[in-house]
Amino acid sequence: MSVRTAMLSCRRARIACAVASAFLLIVSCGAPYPAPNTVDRARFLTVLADRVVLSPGEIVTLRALVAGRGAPSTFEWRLCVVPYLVPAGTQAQACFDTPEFNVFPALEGERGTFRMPDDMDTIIRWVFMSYGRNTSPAAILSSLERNGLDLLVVVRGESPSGTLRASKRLLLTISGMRAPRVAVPPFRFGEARLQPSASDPERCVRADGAPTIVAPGQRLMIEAEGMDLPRLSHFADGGVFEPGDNRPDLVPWTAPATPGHVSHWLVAQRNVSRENGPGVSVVAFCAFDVEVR
Amino acid sequence: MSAPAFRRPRALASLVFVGTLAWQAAARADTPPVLRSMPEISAPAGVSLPAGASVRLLLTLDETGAVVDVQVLDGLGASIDALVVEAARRMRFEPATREGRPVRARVRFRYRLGPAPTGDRPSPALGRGPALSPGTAPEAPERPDRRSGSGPRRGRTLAATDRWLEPGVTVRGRFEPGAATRESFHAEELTTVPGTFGEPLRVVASMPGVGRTPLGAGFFLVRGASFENTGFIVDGFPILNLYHFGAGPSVLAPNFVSQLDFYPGNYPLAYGRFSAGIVHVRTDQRPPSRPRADFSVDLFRASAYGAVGFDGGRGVIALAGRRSYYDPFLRALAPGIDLNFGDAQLRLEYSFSERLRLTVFTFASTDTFTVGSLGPFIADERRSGLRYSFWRGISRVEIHLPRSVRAEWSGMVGHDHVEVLSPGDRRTEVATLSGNVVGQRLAVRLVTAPGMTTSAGIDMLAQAYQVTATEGSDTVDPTQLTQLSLAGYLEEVLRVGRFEVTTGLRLDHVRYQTIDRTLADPRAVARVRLHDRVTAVLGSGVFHQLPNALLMVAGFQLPPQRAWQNSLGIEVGFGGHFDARVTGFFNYLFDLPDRGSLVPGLTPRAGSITLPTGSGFSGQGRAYGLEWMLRRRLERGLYGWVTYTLSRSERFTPEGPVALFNYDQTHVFNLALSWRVSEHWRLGARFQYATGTPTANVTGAIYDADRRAFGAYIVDPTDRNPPSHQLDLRVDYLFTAGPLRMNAFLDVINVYNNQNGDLGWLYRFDYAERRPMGSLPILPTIGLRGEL
Repeated sequence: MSVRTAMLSCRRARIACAVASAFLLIVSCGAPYPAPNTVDRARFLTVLADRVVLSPGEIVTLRALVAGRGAPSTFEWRLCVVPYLVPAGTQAQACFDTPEFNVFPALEGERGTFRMPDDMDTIIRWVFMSYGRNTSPAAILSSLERNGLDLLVVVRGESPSGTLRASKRLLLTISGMRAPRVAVPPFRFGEARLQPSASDPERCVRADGAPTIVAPGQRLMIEAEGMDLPRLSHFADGGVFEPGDNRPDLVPWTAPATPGHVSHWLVAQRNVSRENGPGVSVVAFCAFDVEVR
Repeated sequence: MSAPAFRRPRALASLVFVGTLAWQAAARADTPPVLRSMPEISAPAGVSLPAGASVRLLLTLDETGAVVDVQVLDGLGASIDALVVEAARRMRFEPATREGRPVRARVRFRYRLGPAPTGDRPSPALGRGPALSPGTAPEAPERPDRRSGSGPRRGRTLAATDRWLEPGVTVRGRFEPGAATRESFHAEELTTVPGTFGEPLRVVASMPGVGRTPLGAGFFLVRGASFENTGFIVDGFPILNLYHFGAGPSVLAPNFVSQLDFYPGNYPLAYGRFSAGIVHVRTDQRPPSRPRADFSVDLFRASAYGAVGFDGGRGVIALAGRRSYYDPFLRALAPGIDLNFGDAQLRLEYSFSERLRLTVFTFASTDTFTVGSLGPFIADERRSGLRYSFWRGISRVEIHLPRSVRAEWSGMVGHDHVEVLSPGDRRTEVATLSGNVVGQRLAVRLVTAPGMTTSAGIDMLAQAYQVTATEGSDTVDPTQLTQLSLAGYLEEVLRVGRFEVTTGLRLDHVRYQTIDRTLADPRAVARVRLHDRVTAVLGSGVFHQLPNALLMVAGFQLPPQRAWQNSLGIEVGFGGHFDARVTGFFNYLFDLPDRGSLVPGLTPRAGSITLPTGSGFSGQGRAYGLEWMLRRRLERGLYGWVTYTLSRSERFTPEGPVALFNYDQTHVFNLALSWRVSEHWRLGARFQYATGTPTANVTGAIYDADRRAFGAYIVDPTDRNPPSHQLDLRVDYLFTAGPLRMNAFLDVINVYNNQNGDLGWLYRFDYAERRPMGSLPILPTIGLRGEL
C-alpha cells in the first residue's frame, strides 16, 4: 500500500468516524423540554384565595391565575375534605373524580365561592369521612383544636391543548388561627425598578410609568429587594430563565432574540407554618410587560 | 375369591413387569465414545518439550463420532496448541450412545506429547470408560499427572499412542432428570456473547422466559416472577448478588466458571428456597500442566488471574482479582456519583486419589453506588445509594465410591454487609444490615437398578442478621434476625423405554420470627420420546421461598411464599448441531404480602379509593406464556440462538381486582450469534426486543399551587412504557505475542444508541408531552486479554 493510499484510507476512516459520531449525537439527544417557568401554552400559574385559614361560617372566594395562548376564562370549582384514605399525593385527583368527597356546594351565582359550615356536627362528620370511623369524637375534637381540618380546592378549565387542573389547600380551624399576608416586593429588572401599582397591585410598573424595554438577546438580572422575602416564582411567555445561583431573589433572564412583546408574572408565596400536616399558603402576584426591540 | 388372594399374583406380576423394564433399560445401557483413529503430528523443529507434556482439550463429538469442536483447556503455547487442535479435528470416535442411540458428547481429552510416564494406565476410553449417566453424569477427578522428570526432547514424531481420554467422559445431553428445562453453557459460549463484555453469567439475560432488566442490572425477571424469586447459586449455595453494579461483571472471575445452568422453572429437588428459577454456577479448576496467568484490561476495569499446580499435578492453587476504575472518569464528569467495585477469589483443589477430591473456594466482593443529594453533577456529603459487600468460603469433598455411587459434601460460611444510604437534613443516614450465613450440603447419588437412579441429600442454611439504622441524630436500637432452613430431599429417576419419570419430595423445616413449620415441595418431571428427535417434557412442582430479610427487619411478619409451577414442552433435535424447544408454562404464586406496594402490581393507583389494601398476605399471582428457542451448539466456531417469549403476569388479592405485574413484558425476543470467521477474527452480535412494562396511564396533570409543582393525573387502565430494543456487537482479534495468547476485543452495547424505555417515560414538567427516558446509552469498550 502506497503512502498516498494509506493517507486516503486514514482520511476516509476519520470522515466516517466523524459522520458516525455526529449521527450518534443527533439520535441520542432529543430536544430538551422547556423550563417550567416558560409559558408556552395555556396553564395555571397559581390559585388565589382571599383567605386560606377559615373559621366556621366564613366565606372563601377563589381565583385562578392562568396564562398562555388559549387560556380558559371559565372554570369548574370543587371544594372537598382532604381524603386521607386515598394514597398520598393523589388526593387532588380523588377530589376531582369522587363526588362524595365534594361536600361543599358552591354558593349560588358565585362560582369559586364557598361557605364553611358553622355547626360542629357537620364538621365532625366530615372528619369521620376523611380519617375513617375508628376515631372517637373526643379525639376528633382534640385533633380539630390542634390541627384543624384540611380542605382541598380543585379547579378545572378547558383549553385548546387539553384540560387544565389545579389544586390548593385551605384550613378550617376552630382555634382562631389567622394566616399571614403576603405582597409582591419591589424588584429590579435589569436597570429598571418595578413594584406593584398602587391602583392595581396585580400589575407591576416602573415608578416613572415608562415602559420596560430590553434589547433582543439581552441578559439581565431580576433581583427582589427587601428582607424576609416570600418565595418568588418567575414566569414569562418568552426568553429564557437560567437556574439561579441558589438565590431565589436573584434570577437571570435572557430576552428573546427576536423583537416582540413578552409578558412576565411574578408570584409571591408564603406558607402558614403548622406543627402537623401539610402547609397552606397565601399567594400574591403581579404581571408586567416587556418590549424587546 | 377374597380380596387378599389377589395380592400375591398382583405383586408377582408387578415384579415381573418391573424386572422386564429393568432388563430393557439395561439392554440399552449408555456407552462412552471410543477413540478409533487419529493422525500423527510432528513437533516443530527447535521446540523442546518436557517428558509427559500434554495439551488438555475439550472435544465436542457429533452423533457420527466426528470431532466438531475443539477447545484448549490447558495448552503448551500457541504453536504447539495449533498443531494439536488441527490433529484433534481429524480424530475419529465411535459415538457415545444413550439407550442404544448415538448421541452428541463432550469429551475431556489429554493429548500427550512426550512418552507416557511410568505407571500410567492405558486409555480408559478403549472399551473401559466409566458408565455414562446422561446429562448429569459427574466428572471424575482428573488423574494426577506424575511426571518422570526426564529431560526435554526435541523435534520428535508424536506417536499415536501418546494420548488418552481423561476419566470422567461426560455426555452433556440436553436433558437433566428432575429439571423440566435447563440451558447449559460452557467455556467459549460463556465469554464471547456480545453485550456481556466477556462476562460468563450475563448470557442468562438472553434466554427464553427472561424479561428485560432495567439498566442491565444483574437481576432477572423469570417467567413473570419478581427479581427476588430467582436465585443465584454458586456450587450449591445461594449468594445475594452475582453481578456488580452499573452493568458490571459477575463477582466471579470467568476462569473459575466451568458451567452455567439456567433453570427457568421446575428445577431439581437438590435446590430450593426460590419460587421461580435459579442460575447455578459450577466452578472448577483442574491442575494445569504448567503455571498459568491471565490478565484483562478494558476501559472500565482490570483483572488478573494466576494458577499453579503442585505435588505432581495433584493439587492446584489459583488466585484472581478485579477492580473497576470508573472513579477518575466519574469524578471529572459527575462528581456527585460514586461507583466502584472489586472482587477477589482464592481456590485450592487437591486430589488425594482418583476417588477423593477436596476443594476450598473463597471469594469476596464489594460494590458502592451512591449519588449526592444535589444530583449527579454536584459533589455533596449527603448521599443516597447502596454499599454492598460479602464473602463466602465453600469447601467441598467429592467421593466416588464403587458401584456408581457418588457422594459430595460441601460446607459454606459467609458474611453479608449491606448499607442503604439516604440523605438526612444535615448528614447521610445509614441503615445497615450485617450478618453471617452458614450452610451445609450432603448429596448422594447411586444407581439402584438398571434404569433407576436414586438421589438424596440434606441442605441446611442458617442466617443471622443484625440491622442498625440512624434517624436524624438518633441511632435506632439494633434488630436481630435469624433464619434457619433445614431441608432433606429424595429423588427417583426411572427410565423405561421411551419414558423417563423423575419424582421426589423435598421437606424444608424453616424457623424465623414466629414461623416454625415444615414445607413440603413435591415435584415431578416426565419425559416421553415421541420420535427419535422429538421429546415431550411435562413438569409440575411446588416451590417455597423464604421472605426477604430486609422486609422482615422492617417489621413485617411474612410467611414463606409458595409457587406451583407447571410446564409442558416439546424439544426437538434437528440433527447436526441445531435443537429447538417450545415450552408453555403456567405458574401460580401464593402468600405474597399485599400490604402497600410490597407486591409488585398491587401498587396503589392514583386517584383510586378502591385500593386492594388487603388483609396481610393473601396476595396472589399467576403467570403464563410460551417460550420458543432455536439454538445452534458451538461447532466450528459458530454458535447462537434465537428466543421468543410470549407471556402475561398478573397480581391480585382474592377480593381485589387483577392488575398486571409491574414488570410484565408481553413480547421478549433475543438473537445472539458468535462466529469465528478465521484463525484471528471472531464476530458476534446480540439483538433484543422487549415490550415496555406496565405503567400508569397519565392523561394530564394537576398543578399543586401550594407546592408549585405538577402531579400526574392518572386514569386506569394501565399504559405501558416504551418498548426497548438494542443491538450489541463484539469483535475479537486473537493473536500470539511471544508466549502469550492474546485477545483484543471491541464490545459495543446499544450500537445505534436507542433511547430505551427501561426507566419509563420522560414527561414535560406539565405532563403535556412525553418521550422515552432512555437507558444505557451506546457504551463501547475496548479491551485486551492475555494468557500465559
